[in-house]
Amino acid sequence: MPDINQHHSLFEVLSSVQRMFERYWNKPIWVKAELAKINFYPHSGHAYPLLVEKKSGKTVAEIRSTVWATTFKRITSKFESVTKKEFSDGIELLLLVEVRYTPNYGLTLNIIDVDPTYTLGAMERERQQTIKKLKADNLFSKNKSVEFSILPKRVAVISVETSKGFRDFIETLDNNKNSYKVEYKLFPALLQGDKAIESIRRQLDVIRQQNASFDVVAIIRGGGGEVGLSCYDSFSLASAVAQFPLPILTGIGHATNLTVVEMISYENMITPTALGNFILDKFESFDTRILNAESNLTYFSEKIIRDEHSTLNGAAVVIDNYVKLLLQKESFLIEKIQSSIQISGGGVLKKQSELINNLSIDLKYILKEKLQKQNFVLDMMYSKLKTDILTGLKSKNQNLENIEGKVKLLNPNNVLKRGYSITRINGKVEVGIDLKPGDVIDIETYKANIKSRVEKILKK
Amino acid sequence: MAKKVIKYEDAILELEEIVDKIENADISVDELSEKVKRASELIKICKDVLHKTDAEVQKILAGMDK
Repeated sequence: MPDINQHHSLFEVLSSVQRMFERYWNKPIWVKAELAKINFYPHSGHAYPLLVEKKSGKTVAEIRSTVWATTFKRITSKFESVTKKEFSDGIELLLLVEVRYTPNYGLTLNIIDVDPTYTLGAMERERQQTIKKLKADNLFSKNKSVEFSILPKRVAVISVETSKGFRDFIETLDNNKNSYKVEYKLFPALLQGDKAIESIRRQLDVIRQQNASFDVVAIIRGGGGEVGLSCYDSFSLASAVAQFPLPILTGIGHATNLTVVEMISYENMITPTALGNFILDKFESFDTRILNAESNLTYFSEKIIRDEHSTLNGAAVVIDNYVKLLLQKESFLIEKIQSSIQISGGGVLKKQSELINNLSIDLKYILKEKLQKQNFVLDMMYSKLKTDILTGLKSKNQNLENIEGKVKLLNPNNVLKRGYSITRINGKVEVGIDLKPGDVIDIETYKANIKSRVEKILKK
Repeated sequence: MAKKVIKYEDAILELEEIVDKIENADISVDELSEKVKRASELIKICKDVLHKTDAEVQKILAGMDK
């Protein structure tokens, strides 16, 4: 047990501790730490950042540090110009420090410099890790595949009311040349620095509960410089954006590499104005569709009526033509029949007349022939007759001569001359049959007629 | 909500469907005037949506401020 009489004043003890620190920690050293809280005092310009080291979420080391005003100004501007990240709570730092111990203030780390490239590396690692994780979880293209409203008329805007970006955005929407009316509702949030992550996420949750009332979400930032955008590389915010049920449009407006949120949002525009115009373009294409529909409606309605008209007219013409053709055909047919009747009728007549002609000719000929024949016969008969007559006459003549001779011979005168007489009774020659005695008879002799009476009849 | 309310997506799709039908003469003359009338209504609805304040949205937005 130590001797109670051997005691020291507090100052002696702590001064001894101070000397020990000065002996063993007399050179600045590089320390890796997380800036848990910056504890900046604007009035003095000094800062007393709380540095920590965490292992699996648990703080395993913690110390208050000191940055004097001039150093603070120098190292923060150096840090921010290299990392484009605010020198603020939550960042990983590589710091050049002096370990200081004073009896009245205790142990502190006096920050004299910072290596921003370390933080930059850490940031890039976080960014790469966020991208990798989003891809692994199939979230990287998720918001891009959300259905985009034909007309993004109702816009939920996550922004800061007083920011230039928000003003530019609503001015673009409100003063569009086609006087389209775009509805928008502001959901105020921090847009840079690590606090932006939670702030934006909270508003996304609010919008999500109303998501049927909106077509699209726009995250608008602008005029805030390029510092404090690493929040958009955080997995926490990026995954919330990726999984949001509405398309998220970003107009964060900066010149460095795209942040992860911008990469995975439905559409990213460099400026809020461009984002406003993107929405207006959708209105215009909707408008164009209406105009097209309108003009097509008019054009094709008229066309249908016109077509019907021309169909009807065409049908009328066809019918007309057909009827005409039919009539023509019929009339042609009739004409044909007529002419064929004429032709064939004429033919018949002609034939008949020819026949008649022929007949008459034949007749003439026959008659002539007959006449000739008859003539000939007649001639023949005539000549025969003539011959016959002559012959007959001759023979008759002969006969006559014969007869004459006979007659001559028979002439009773001649007989009477020779002594014969003719007995007649009552003028009739009598041969003696019916004579009776006493009958008076006339006896003719050559030289006289003697009247005599029958005395007796002697039969021979 | 009034049953007359039609979403602009549906309005333009219906409009384009009608126009398409008319365009391809897939429509009878009897139907034509009816369809043209409907199309004109839809055009008016779409134009209103483009250019006028949607009272429904305003109501929702106002409601959320409370």
